[in-house]
Amino acid sequence: MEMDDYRKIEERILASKGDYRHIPVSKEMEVKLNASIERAEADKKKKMRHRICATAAAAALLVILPNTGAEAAYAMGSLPVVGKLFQAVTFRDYQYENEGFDANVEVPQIVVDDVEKTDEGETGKEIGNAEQAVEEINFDIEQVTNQLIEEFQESAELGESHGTLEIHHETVTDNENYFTLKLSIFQAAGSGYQSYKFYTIDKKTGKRIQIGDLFKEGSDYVEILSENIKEQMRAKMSEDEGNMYWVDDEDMPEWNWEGIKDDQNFYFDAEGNIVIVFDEYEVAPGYMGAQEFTVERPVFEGMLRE
Amino acid sequence: MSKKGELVRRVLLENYESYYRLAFSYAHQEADAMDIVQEGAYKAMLKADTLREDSFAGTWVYRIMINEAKEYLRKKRMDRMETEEGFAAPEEHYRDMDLEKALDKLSKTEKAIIILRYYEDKQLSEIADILQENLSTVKSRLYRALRKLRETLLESQ
Repeated sequence: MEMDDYRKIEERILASKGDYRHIPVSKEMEVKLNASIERAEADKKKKMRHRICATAAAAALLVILPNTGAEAAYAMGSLPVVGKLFQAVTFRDYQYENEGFDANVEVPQIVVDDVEKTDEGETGKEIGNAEQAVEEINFDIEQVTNQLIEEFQESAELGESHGTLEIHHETVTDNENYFTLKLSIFQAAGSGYQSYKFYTIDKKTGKRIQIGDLFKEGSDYVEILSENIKEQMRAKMSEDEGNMYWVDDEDMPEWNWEGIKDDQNFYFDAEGNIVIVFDEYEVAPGYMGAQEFTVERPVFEGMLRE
Repeated sequence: MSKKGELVRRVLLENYESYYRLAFSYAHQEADAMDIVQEGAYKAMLKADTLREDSFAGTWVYRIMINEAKEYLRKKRMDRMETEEGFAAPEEHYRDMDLEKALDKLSKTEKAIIILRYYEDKQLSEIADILQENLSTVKSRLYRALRKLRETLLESQ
């Protein structure tokens, strides 16, 4: 298709903009919208009452504990506060196989164990944080996976020739400080595309965190981690001519990797190093596949938050 | 109401007409479009406190609405298959009816991209945020949608 053809079709679409913007909006819409907002608020209040009960139970636990001796008192003072509470379970299983289309999808949800079952001395605040973090992550997973499944089903129905959707999950970190769930997504229709989502919860606060939350305020972690990874890329390229990363490319400067993003995928490996994960095409051409780089702990240890 | 809840409520009230038109473009029925917006608004309010950054509120609500529209249509189609009920005549509003029909032949995501880009004046980077996709993926989907539209329109001439 010529540039001119694109322009013509764009003009034709734009010619209907006025008709689109004049699609009459039902007069009842605003009333119904407000009703929805109120219904959601009412349902939220119901849930909140439920949560307050759970918090009260946790508080009761705290009052009793000091009387049960030195061991319990020690347990209360020791971190982590939220203990080994998180667990990923497969929440939805979607399988499909028919004429060139196959899907193998396991959608996870994170569950928080019951407050009463643990004796680590949680406080209501951390449990509240943990529940909110889990709810946020689960909702995000649900939205992302629903959309992918929807697109897959649609391409099967539209009679395109073939398609693949694979979604799997794995708990990659579960130590005294962090819980990290990894979601691997592979989509293919012709060429394939591998991507990931990592969700990390800080067990001490119960909050969901991004990479920046690991480091002290004002520390230059973006520059330090990015430079470390660029060095690794350069080393790999000089090791083997087949290796190609988008770094220092003077011909295509706009393709060069810009550095760690706020929502950068990462996790801690068993040795406490940070592993930075890139989707396919993010830092290298497609034939290189998805990429992982490990940044050794000494590189960043001094910048970590206490 | 929480601060995040208040923010999402404001976004909903400011933009509900855009959500309605988008929903209507999929559903082609007033009642269905209203159901989609209502259900999307309910979910957005219920989950408002899980919103990470205030500045994401606009794209976040759009994403919920688009997902809601897709889900709603899929459920409705399945119900119809079970009950063998016929489709109601679609309500149309474009003078360029061929274009309106051609838009319906696109995938739901392609259609969302066209509407957001040309009718709602969104930047491609914003659309990428709404659909949670790479900018390059959105661009290639957009070009593919334009090609498809052109082919369909040439056939209908």
